[in-house]
Amino acid sequence: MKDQNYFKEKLFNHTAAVPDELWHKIESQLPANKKRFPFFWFTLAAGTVLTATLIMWNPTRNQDTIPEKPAIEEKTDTIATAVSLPLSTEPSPTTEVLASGISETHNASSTVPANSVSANTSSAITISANNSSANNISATSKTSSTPSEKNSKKTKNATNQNTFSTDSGNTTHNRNRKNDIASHSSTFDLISESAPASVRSDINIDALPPSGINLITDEEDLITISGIRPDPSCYKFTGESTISPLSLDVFGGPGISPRSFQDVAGELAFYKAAREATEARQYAWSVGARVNYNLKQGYALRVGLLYQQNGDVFDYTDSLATQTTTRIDSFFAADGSFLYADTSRVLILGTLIKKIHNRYTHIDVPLIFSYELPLGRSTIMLNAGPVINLTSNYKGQMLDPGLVPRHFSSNQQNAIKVYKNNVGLSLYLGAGLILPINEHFSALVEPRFLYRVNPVTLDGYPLEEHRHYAGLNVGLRYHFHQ
Amino acid sequence: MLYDRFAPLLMSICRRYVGPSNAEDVVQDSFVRIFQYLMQYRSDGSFEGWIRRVCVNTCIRHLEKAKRLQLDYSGDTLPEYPVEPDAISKMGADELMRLIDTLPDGYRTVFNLSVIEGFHHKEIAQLLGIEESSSRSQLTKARKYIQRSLAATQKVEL
Repeated sequence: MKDQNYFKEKLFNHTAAVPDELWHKIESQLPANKKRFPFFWFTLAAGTVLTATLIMWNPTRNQDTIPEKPAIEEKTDTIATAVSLPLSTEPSPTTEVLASGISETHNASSTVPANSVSANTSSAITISANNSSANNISATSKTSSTPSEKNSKKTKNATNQNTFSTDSGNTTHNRNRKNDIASHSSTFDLISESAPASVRSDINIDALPPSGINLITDEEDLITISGIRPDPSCYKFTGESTISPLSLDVFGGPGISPRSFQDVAGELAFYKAAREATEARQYAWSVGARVNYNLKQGYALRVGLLYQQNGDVFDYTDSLATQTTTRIDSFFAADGSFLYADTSRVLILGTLIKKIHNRYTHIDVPLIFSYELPLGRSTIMLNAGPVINLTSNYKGQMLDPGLVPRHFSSNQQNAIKVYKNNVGLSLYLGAGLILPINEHFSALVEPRFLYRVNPVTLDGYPLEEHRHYAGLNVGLRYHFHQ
Repeated sequence: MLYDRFAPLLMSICRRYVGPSNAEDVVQDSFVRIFQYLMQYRSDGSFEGWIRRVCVNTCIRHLEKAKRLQLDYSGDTLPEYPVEPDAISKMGADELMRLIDTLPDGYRTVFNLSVIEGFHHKEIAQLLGIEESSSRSQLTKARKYIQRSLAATQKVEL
């Protein structure tokens, strides 16, 4: 039919107007994306809530501070107050008060004008510093009720029970004795000493040798002054520290491996769509171990090994699949002699369904710089640094650019070459919390993100594939001891 | 993107096979199938060819489901109608579409598959589940039907 060509020429590529609402109808019939259980986000949220709970509900979180410091401050106030009391020939209630306890002494000080008392409450060092800046500084022993006792006990008091107080105004105290504060020991434990003698000594600070002041600033003296006893429940106070700067982390946890495609040539949008339609994320997890070396001022270096595995499902259905078989029919005569053979090919129509579990593994070496910040008994750490890929391995099937399912495993015959065996440099970013368990172990929780700088696909592959990783490290830290 | 590019083409194809009244529904079904079975596209043909094939299959399924694909197995009784040699070449695409619309469903389907899509009778026979001879006879009848329609049109014009 001669005119048939005109039909084809004019109608083969003919187009017709499409109603505007047609796309909305199509979109409503498309299968919705499967709602997956957000395992990773659930785990991350649970970890965050758990961590926050541990931080908030930590009854001993302030034990690494000096618990006796308020007592010291109280003593200082008390002593200064007591010193400011006018000397009396009668037994002063202060004497008993001093012997009985700090708080009562403090009550006795209420009779003293506040401006006549130096209440240095910061620390023993502060006391020294403040007093050194005052015009008049007096070193006063504990008051006693009678002058005779005062005289008899003055040496002892001068030796063991001196403190400083400033006189902001005119000094009205009796200056019975001047004591050489330089000869005093560093012990400021006034409470332990009973002071039967009322010895009051005002010493001009200018007359004091420098050592009289310096003894307070000495670190060992401060420890004695504070009277701090280590809290056995606090892992940081175990006497002389034997903790090595080295520690070992072992961790693992779930994650997700976000993937993105980039159509390099800009001509394979359908291939990108087909890959996204046939491959779905299934799981991701990682394990690792690293050695930590703690530097000064909270900095640390970490080096280790990371093993990461991602799983995808390649889901492919071909309802137009065919299978061809060859059939050979041989015909023989009645006597058994061969007559001829008839060869035919049989085409079988069917549906091909593939559900392949693809696996992607990476082994990396992280070189991490870290900063650790104490938070109560816990420690917050911020980790960042480069990660060098040692090797990567891939196993499974996927669509090739012709949308034909192909193996991409390296050990498979006729496999398509898609992925690199080494993806090079990646960047690590994490923030975590270390919770002490005992002297040797701490729990470790660290959400982290691994950004792979380079695509995992080979250079020149038309569809670049980028894979990153976000996961939650949960593990233990072992503290080495020297 | 895929929709914007191919929707007008598929609308035209569906109109040729199932007529203007049902074309929109079949285009809709075609796109749903295309998005659903996108991964079935094989590299041994063009992507547009695959989409066209899916659309044609959807049209045929629609006709079968509506029991409109009743082939005429009666004898070839239609005579040849003399038509001007340039009659069809002078016609525009829309006129040709209307001319095809006048064909009975069976004739039109085989005509579309053979003349416009370029399928062989063997393929048409497999696609429609008929004998090759039936495909040939349907095409012959469709051709004579068009000739008759063209002749009638020319008579009217005269």
